Amino acid sequence: MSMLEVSKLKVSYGGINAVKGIDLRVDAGEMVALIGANGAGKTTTLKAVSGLLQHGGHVRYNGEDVSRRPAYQLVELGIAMVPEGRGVFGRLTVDENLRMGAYVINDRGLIRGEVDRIYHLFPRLKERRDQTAGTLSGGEQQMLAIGRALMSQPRLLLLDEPSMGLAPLMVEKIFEVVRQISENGVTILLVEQNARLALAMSGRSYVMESGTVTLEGESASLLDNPQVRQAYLGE
Amino acid sequence: MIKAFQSRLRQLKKDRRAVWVGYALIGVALAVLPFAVDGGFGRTWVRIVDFALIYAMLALGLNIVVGFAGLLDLGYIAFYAVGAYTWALLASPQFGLHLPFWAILPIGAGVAAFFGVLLGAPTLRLRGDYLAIVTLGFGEIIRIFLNNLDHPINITNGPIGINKIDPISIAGVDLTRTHEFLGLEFAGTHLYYYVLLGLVMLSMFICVRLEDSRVGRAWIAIREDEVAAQSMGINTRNVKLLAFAMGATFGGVAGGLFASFQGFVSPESFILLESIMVLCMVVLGGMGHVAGVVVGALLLAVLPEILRSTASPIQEQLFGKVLVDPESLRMLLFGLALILVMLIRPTGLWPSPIRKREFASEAT
Repeated sequence: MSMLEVSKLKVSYGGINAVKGIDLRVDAGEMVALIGANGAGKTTTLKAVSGLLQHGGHVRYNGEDVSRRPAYQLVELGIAMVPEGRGVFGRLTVDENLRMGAYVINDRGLIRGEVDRIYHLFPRLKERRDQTAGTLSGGEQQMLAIGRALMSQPRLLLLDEPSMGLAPLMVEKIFEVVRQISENGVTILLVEQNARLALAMSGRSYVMESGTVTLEGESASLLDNPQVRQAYLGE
Repeated sequence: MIKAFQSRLRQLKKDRRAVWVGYALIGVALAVLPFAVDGGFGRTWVRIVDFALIYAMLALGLNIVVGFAGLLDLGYIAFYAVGAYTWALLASPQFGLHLPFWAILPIGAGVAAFFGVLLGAPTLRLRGDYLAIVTLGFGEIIRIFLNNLDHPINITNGPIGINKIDPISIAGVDLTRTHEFLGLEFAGTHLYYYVLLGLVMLSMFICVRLEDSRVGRAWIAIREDEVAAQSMGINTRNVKLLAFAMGATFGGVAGGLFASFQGFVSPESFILLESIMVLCMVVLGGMGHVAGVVVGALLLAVLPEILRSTASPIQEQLFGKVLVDPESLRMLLFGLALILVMLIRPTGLWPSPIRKREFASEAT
C-alpha cells in the first residue's frame, strides 16, 4: 500500500479543466517529483491533494480516503504543505512563524525541541530568529516556509516549487536540506519547474502536460529520455 | 526628557512594591473618579464617562474582529442594536416582560453571538473591501428591520422606539436611584459607572487572555495569510466564525447595558456613523492592542463632548458671537484630529508590538 494514492484527480476553475484525471502514488520514504511547464497543472494538483482545492477524484492517505477532507484536518494526519510563493507570515518573527507551524501540537516541550531541530537544520534562521519574516531574503523565506511545515511533524511533505525565484547558490542550499529531510524519513512530493534538479533529487517522477500525466518512471531513466531531454532540459 | 522618564518607569517596573503601589493608586483614582467628576464638572459629565465606558466595551469587541482576526466590519453597531433591543424587549412594558438583569445579560449575549454567526457564515470567503461592503449592508438591514417591525405585528415599536426600560437592579438595589452606603451618597450614574468599569475591566482581561491563546494565534495567522493558516492546520472557517461571534457578544452586552442605562432605545442610535465611530476608536487607539483600543474609545467618546461644551464660550470670548455652530465645528475638529493622528502615528496612539513592527520594517 502506498502512502499517498491519487486516482482520477480532476480539478477545474470555472469552466477550465486544469487537471484532467491524473493518477499518481507516493510510497512511504520516497521522494517523488512532479515536473512540467508553466500551467501544466502541477500546483493545482498539489493544492487538491493538500485539501486546499475542491476536486473530483480520490485521494487516499495510508489507505484512508481523504478526498473530501479540508486542509486543516490533513495537517493533523501528518500531511504538511509548503505553499507556492512561500506564504510566510510577514509581520511575525521567524520564531513566531515556526511556532505557528506547530499549531496542531499541544506539547510545549515538544514544540521547543522542534524549534531547536529546525534551527539546527537551518542555522541561518537561528541567526534571524527575532527578525520579521517579511525582512528576510527570498531564500531565507523559503527555508522558513519549509521549517514551518516541518514543525507539524509531517510524515508526508508537499513542496511547491521551492526553487522559484531564488539564486542558484540558494537553490543548491535549499535542496541540500530537502535531501536531508528525505533521508530523515519524511516522504516528499516535490513540484518543480527546474526539471534537471528535480529529476536528480527524486527517485521517481511524473511529467505533467496541460493537465495530464504524459510520462512517469524512475527519475534516472527519465533523465535519459530523449523526449524529456528535448522538452524540459533544453537539449 | 521622555527617554529619561521611560527609563525611570522601567526601573520602577522592576521594583515589585512600586508596581503594587502603582496599581493601588490607579485603583483609588478609578474609584473616586465619579465623585471627582461630579464635584468638578457636574452630573452630566459622569454620564459622559459612563457612555465612554460603554464605547470602550464596544471597541474591545470590534477589536477582536478587526484587530485580532483582520476582518473589516463596518456594520458592527448592528450587534449593539441587537443587544439593546433584546434587553428592551425582555425588560420593559412593551411585552410586559421584566426579566432580571442576570437573565437578560446572557440571553442578550447569546442572541448577539447568533447574529454574529449569521453575518459571518455567508461572508466566510470574502475579505477586505468586499467584506466591508457586506457588513455595512448587514448593519443597515438590522437598523431598517428595527425601524419597520411595528407592523403587521408590533415588536419594536418602529421609529418611536421602546421606552421605560427597566434599570439594572442588583440585590434589590435599583441602579438609577440614589443610595447611601457608608455615609456616602451614590447617585445612579455613579453606580452604573462602577458596574460598567467592572465589565470593561473584565472584557479587557478576556481580550488579553484571548490574544494569548490558541485561538488568538489562529486569528493572527488568518489575518496574515489565510491559505498559509489553513496549511498550519487551522480550521479557518470555525475560527473566523468564532471571531464574529465573540465580537458580537461584546457588542450585545454593551448594547444591553446601554438600553438599561438610557432607559430608552430607538433605531436612531444605531446608524452607520456609530459603526464608523467605533472603528475609529479601534484604529486610532491601536488596532489589535487591548489597552490602546480602550484609550482610543475613552478619548473619542469624551473629547467631542469637551469640544461641544467649550466651542461656544470660546468663540463668544474671541469674537463676541458664535461664528460656527459648535456641532459642525465639533465634527470638523474631530476629522482634523483623526487625519493628524494618522499622519503622525499611523499605527495608532498606542499600537500593538506587531503593528509597530510592520511600519518599522517598511521604513528600512
